[in-house]
Amino acid sequence: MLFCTASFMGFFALLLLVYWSIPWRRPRVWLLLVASFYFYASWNKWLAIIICISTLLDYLLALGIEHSVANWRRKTLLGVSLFANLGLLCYFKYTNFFLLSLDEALIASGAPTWFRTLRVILPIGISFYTFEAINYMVDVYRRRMPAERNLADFMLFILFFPHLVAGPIVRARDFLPQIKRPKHCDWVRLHLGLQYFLMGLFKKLAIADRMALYADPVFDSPLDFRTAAVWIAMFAYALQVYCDFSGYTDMAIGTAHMLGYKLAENFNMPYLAANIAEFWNRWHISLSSWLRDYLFIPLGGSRGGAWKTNRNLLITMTLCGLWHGAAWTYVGFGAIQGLMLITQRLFHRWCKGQPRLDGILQSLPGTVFRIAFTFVCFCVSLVVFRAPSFGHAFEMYTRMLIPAPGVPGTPVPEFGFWLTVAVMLAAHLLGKSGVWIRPTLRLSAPVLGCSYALVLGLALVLAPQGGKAFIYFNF
Amino acid sequence: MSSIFLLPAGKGRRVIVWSLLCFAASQVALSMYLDYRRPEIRDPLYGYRLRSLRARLAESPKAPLFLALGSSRIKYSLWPALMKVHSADGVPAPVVYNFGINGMGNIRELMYFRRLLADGIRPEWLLLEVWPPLWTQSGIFEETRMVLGEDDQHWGDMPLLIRYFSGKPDVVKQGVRRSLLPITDYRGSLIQATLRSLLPREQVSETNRHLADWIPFDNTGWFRVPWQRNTPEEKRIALEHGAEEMKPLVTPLRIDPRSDAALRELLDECRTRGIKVALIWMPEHSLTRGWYPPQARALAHQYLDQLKQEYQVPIVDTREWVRDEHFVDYCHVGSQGVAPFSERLGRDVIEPIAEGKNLNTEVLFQEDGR
Repeated sequence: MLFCTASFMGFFALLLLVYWSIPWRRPRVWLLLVASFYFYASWNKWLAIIICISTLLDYLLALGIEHSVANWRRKTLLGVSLFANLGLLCYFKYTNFFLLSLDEALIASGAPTWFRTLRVILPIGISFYTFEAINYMVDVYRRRMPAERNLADFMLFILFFPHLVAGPIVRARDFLPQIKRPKHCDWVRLHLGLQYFLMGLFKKLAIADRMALYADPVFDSPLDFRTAAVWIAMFAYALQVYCDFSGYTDMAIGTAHMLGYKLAENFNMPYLAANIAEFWNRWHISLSSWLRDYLFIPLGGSRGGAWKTNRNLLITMTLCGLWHGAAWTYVGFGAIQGLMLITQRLFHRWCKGQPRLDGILQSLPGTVFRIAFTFVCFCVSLVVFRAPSFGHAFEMYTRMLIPAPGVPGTPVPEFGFWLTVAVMLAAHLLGKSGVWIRPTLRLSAPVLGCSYALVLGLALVLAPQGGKAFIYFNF
Repeated sequence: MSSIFLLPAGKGRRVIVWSLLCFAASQVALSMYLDYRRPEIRDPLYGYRLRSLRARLAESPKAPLFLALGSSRIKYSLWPALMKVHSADGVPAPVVYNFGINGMGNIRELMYFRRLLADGIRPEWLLLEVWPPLWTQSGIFEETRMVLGEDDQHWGDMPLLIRYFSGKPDVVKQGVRRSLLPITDYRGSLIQATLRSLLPREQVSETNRHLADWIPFDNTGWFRVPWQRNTPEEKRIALEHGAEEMKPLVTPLRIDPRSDAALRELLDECRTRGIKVALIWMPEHSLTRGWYPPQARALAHQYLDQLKQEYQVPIVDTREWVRDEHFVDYCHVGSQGVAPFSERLGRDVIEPIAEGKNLNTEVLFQEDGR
């Protein structure tokens, strides 16, 4: 059940109606739990049961950690939880990847192989809820929060359907207190939720899915197209992946708001970042901050000198790449991000000794240049992320750099692409300046209502036929 | 985040209510626009044909309309441009229009006829195809499949669909969804009609290819049969395939109650409105005529005889009007057969009834069967 389908909207409208007509907190929690289970089970009920079992295990282990005084016992219980959570993640997501990689390596070395891949399906959103469970267990272990005593509340923290399948990765410390807080139907939040939802819907249907029409055919066979089409496909994919994921997040935040919950912002106009470090502070914020808190800092963070910091950055970002998917291209993408972050750190330090250059780069034209440069660098690295193999990525890069004959034009007339670029640019600039808010607030309710209906209509009419699942559902 | 703003509760509530109202109103407006102004966006099969029919009527505004309604067997066989129809002095020659649509059985005939009436088309005569396999509502002629897969429903079709497909929730659900939320089902066609440059080039080419299926050859509604079978071997295979399709439908023949009800409803409606009707059994290959077992023949004859008695409608039997070599398969007339068939239908059927004469018994269906 995708957020952008009529079946989800029907499901959510019914849920909202029943939810706010129940005056008691506890039945509402149970209702949300049932709805979340149904939401996930609509893909696969067995996987939904597996999540419930793993959540129950974490619930019991966290209580065990809290009640234990002996350090070794606490560590053991945390170890069991991490083993169970990461074990499930590895089993479902990475086993076949490692087996196939080993198989290929053995074949390449001429050794006999006997591996068989497992017949498993990847549970949607497994990487997201695994990270949520880990942050809870680690925080309980570190005594940063008490273990949750109410099973239903804890299960809702993991299973809450708006964030279940593609984040944002919520922190137990932020979310569990919200479950306990009394709630009442609030038109301010309903309106806020509607805004988020419409914005997300428009990003997903009218931009991301439409940009896929430019990107997909070219990424599938880059050598069939000319250089300009390949460059356009690369930029189209950058817009697609951003609007797809941030659109999903907006819809998740919007639905949560309408139910009286607040999820963390996950994007902050990342394509306006002036360097790659800033970019990762604006892109998939909940993952970046999770990696910082639960991987980069435990590895030593930036405490051990330049070499160790760079090593930690590279490890963190490479694992970040692997988190995205079980393929070497994702590992490569992560490593490229790590290398870009290291390069940026070194360049930043070097610039401090060059006040004139630093001054130019900090000026308005210099900042515009840095934004454009960061954007292009990220887009170029996205080719590895999107390509099904390094061979495909190499073909893309080759065609981008060496002009050759091919199908003239782009798969869809370029007009739509440039129109989308113009809309995105205008939206970013307006969003950054905020000048539109005051006049908008003065508009009457009917005018605002009509404009929302127009956005909804435009999103639906511009959505290409067939529809596409969210990219981050695969992760 | 600066792309989101807060409103006071009262205004927030009003904005939400207005959004829902505006969206609902926009969907109703769009549905009506598609039904009455741009039917070709919602249902190209119907819409383009209606446009062509209107253009034809505009050429002879006072002429009586003879509308032929039926399946692909009419669509590809009857070319009114080849008819040399004269009429009584002082009466303009009739306009004959072919409104055949692939796989159209009795329920869809009724549905399309109602739409035509709602769109202001009022024929003087309705030439309605009758064919036993179409009465069975099974196999390739099952209209549920056609309605789900090919037709696009109008608001006005809903009562009819609910009555005839109440046991098929998918049909009713699809009809309701398409009527109430047209923006999701017709977005491709809407963009096609307004902003083609947003569509993939392949999709545009595909639509252009489809135009040949939607826009008739000329303003008489005829379509050239899109498949050709020239060699004896191709024809033999086509006949074998036809036998596989048709024999199970007529062995034994069973008239589906919904087909019967739809046909009677159509005939009742014509009688009420003063529209004259002639039923036509279209040409069949000699082999096809032999595929009817005695039970099927007897039942078909009995049924047609009943209709003739109850509604006082002539039943024209054209089964043997086309030579076997002019068929492209077991029931479709190829391009060589179109001219002789159309000319004869014009001369022996259209012209006499346009002049108010009785039809020659040679063209009429014989109750004792052949």
